[in-house]
Amino acid sequence: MSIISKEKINNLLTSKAENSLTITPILDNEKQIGESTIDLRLGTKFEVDMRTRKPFFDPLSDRRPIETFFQDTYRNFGEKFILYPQQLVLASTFEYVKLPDNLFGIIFTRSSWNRLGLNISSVLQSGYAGVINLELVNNSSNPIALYPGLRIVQLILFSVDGEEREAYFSDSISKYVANSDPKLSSISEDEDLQMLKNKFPINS
Amino acid sequence: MIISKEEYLNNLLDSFCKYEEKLNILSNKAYPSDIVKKFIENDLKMIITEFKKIAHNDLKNNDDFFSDKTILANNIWDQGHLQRIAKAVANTDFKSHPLEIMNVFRDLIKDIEKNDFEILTIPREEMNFSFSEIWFKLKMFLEKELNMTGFTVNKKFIKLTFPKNHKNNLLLSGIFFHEIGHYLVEENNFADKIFQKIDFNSDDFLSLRKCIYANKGNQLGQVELVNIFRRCYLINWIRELLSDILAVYTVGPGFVFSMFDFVINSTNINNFYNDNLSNTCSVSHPRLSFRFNLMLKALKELKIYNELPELLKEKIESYQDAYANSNNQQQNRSGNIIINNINYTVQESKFMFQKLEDIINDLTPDMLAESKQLLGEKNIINKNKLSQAEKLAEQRIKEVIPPNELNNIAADPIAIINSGWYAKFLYKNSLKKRVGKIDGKNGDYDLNLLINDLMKYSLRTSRIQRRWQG
Repeated sequence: MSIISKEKINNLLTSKAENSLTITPILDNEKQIGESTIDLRLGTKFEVDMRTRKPFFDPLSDRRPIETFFQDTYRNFGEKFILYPQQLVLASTFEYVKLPDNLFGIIFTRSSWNRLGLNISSVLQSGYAGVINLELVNNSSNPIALYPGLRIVQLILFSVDGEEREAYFSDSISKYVANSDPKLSSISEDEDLQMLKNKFPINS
Repeated sequence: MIISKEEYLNNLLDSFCKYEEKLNILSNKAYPSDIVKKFIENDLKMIITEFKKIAHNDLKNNDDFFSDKTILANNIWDQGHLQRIAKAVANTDFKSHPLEIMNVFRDLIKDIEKNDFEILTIPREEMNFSFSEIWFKLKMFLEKELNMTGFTVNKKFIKLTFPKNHKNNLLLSGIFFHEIGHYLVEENNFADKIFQKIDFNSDDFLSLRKCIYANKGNQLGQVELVNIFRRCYLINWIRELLSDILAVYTVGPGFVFSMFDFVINSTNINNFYNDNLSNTCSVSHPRLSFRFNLMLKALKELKIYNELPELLKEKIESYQDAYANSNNQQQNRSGNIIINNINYTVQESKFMFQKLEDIINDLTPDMLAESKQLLGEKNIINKNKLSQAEKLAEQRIKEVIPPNELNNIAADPIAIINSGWYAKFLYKNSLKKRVGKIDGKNGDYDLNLLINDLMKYSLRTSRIQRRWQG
């Protein structure tokens, strides 16, 4: 397993081969592609969590779907979005990413945002296709103004050794496939929940 | 008088005050555009304040008669103009705004129309689209008749209603283009201009006299005939067909396929089985086979029809044939129309509909040429946009990549819309193979969802990319 370098990233991005790396659109190649990282921008759609009458979200209950705990909103490029302390907001990268089957990725917040109290980290499986969900939580005690279009996270790509595997998006049980907007948690679709319901019913 | 002037005015003032209350509530809502808020707070409130003042002044006045201003305000109120605007504003919000496609329309209309405008999008439960201007004429009337000045929003407000469940259905967006066509036809008196080109002395036109009966022995000459068809059938059909042409000219096959989807959606299963597809004429619409035929003519006239992949051409021709050969029988009705206090009975017949189609066929070259002129070359679909659509479908959507750019250049929005249809027809099987989630359990629903998501993303990002690169 090794980190993919700038040269290889650029080769993969310009390759005409099927199942190569896609990151689209890259508005500024020079600024966004570093020695071993790719900077990705904050997208324009947000899912903001809300306090509701129900005291909690319960993945085992379908009475109150998770959508009812979030409100979607939109900001143009350059328009302000305020992230309040300890507030959870789901956003996504502006770029759509498709990884080939022999790469996987990790994203981290760019350090300048880290220092303001914004920490994001996530793993992208081989073959992933879609915008990357960003779970924004402001860990500082002051609200932070965010602007769609700003470079917010960096993607590091690793090669995966071994035999070819099925692409993430061709796996019919994949929960997050080819998303183009921030996607809410699909925890309710977790197969273990069905197992818990069947094998360990509450009243047994 | 059964009730007194005072009672009447008090009642009217009560309605005005309730409207003002409603405006106060509406001004606290968030809207897709800040202009809407400004419009409520400044302009609508200014009108209702003025109306209240007019009614109140009349109330203080001991005359037995209502003032001219009160009568005018009351007429506007009775006709429901202000209530319709408030209803439209109340029903528009962030959640129901089909942002991506609206931006395409915004750019298109801005390029064609000289006036500034705002679009209010209103979701509806039923499968129905409409597009109309709700403010500008009222504003001009108030300025002229009540000397009201100081309106802050000097732009048109276009009300666009669409089926709520299809908010993100970009595969159906061709229908929106047809509705924009209606708006452009209306705003430019386009149908009237075409109507004037009819040869009113021709045998075809004059033979329509056979289908009309003038009651009480009134005369039915050429002038009366022109007046009748300026009000119904011909003028409506011209409006409908012009909107179709404008939609074909802007979005090309994307409109034709949306239209097929739309009509199939409204076809009863029994009619489908018995080759009984609804292909009848009415006072407002020509038959579908006639419309499809004209759409095909428009595609051919643009010289893009032959550029389409064979499968897509076959699809268009099969729909056209299916409707042209439908067993559906025309129910011929008769209806009355009153013009200048004279009652005319129009008897529908195969003969009448055939004559109307013949007259319109003669107008087709003018309709095509003038539609082109209205849109301007830049907004007309061409071979390049279609070839881009084909590449976007093959190189991007088929690979589960959004069709937002080609070779680092932002894709054209019309090419993006068409690429969705290309992908749906040409790459359905490869997408099914690639994306396990599209397993067919929900029919084409998951496939449509994936294509729509990719198109939606592409319309949004390509617009930003174009601006960034520009």
